[in-house]
Amino acid sequence: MITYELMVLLRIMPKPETKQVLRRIADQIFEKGGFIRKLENLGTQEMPYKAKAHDAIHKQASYFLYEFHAPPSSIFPLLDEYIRDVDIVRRRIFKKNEEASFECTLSQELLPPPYRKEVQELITEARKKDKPKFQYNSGLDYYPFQK
Amino acid sequence: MFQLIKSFSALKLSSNTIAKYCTYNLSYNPALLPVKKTHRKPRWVPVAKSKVFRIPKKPKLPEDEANEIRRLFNNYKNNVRSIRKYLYKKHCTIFEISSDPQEILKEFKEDLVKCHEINDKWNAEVKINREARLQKELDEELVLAEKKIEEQMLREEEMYAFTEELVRKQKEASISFITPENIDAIIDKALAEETDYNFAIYPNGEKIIGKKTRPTQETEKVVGAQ
Repeated sequence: MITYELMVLLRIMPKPETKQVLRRIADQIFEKGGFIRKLENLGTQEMPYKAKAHDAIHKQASYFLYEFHAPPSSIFPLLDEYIRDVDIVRRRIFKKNEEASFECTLSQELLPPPYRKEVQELITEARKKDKPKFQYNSGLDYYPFQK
Repeated sequence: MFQLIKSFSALKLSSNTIAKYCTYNLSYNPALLPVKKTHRKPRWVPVAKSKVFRIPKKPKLPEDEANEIRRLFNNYKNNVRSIRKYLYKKHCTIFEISSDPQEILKEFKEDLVKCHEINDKWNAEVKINREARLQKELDEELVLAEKKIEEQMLREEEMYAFTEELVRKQKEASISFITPENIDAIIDKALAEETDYNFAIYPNGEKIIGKKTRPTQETEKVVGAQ
């Protein structure tokens, strides 16, 4: 079952009206036989650039995120519905990717370069390509004669 | 130059001789030149334009002379052919074998029996090898098939476990699914609470959550940082 993410940017409205719009958006999903997993309010923010929608220019928008399940065939109709809603400035539907598990290696990354494991490996790899140096096999760590 | 003349004069040479050896313009001496060879046109040089349409005249021998040459050649040809045939017959081994059909048949039969013996021996050897090989191949195939079946079973089990896990997770999550019944409450909650995924990290691992949050003393530390 695919989880979709719907990101909607609503025009600036009073709270009751915003609530109505959110309800309308949700009802569309329910009508198509879907159900919602999560609804998040990402706040009212400045948009990265001014956007034109329904003959009005918007510089700010209210950002909302829906996570929902719906039949894949209903995604295009949903987008079609939302673009005709005058209160919606922008909308996009994405497939939700599962979060990849990872280990926090920040403490290692913040170390000075010679202490990092990756850098040490690189140095050992580079040392392999050095030209062979002549060994005197004298048992001394210096050259006893004048060079 | 003066030094050179001085050294020559020590050898008691005449001034004429010195002059001869000290100048580069030696007088012409055919003995010093390389032997002249006959000139031939190189192979890659084409026929001269003036000679392109020249048809060389065919040499024509007088009739009696031509007849004489032909006669001599025929004579030579016949002699050589007869010698060759003679030597061939003399040294050919084919004609040494008897031409008695009974004897030939007998030899042929003996040879056939020998051939059959060798062939049967070979067949027996090959049969043993073949049976061993086929048995080995069969065993290997059986082992492979068993292994494949095991792998398939394992894969199916894994797949079953994976789907079971998936269904279990979805069932667990389905408790918190939002339906038309509770959507209003959820919307109210969302409008009341803002979510902010932005955060900043200090070099010492301090994490400050929120886009416009100012740093305070009570900041949480990233797990695993220094």
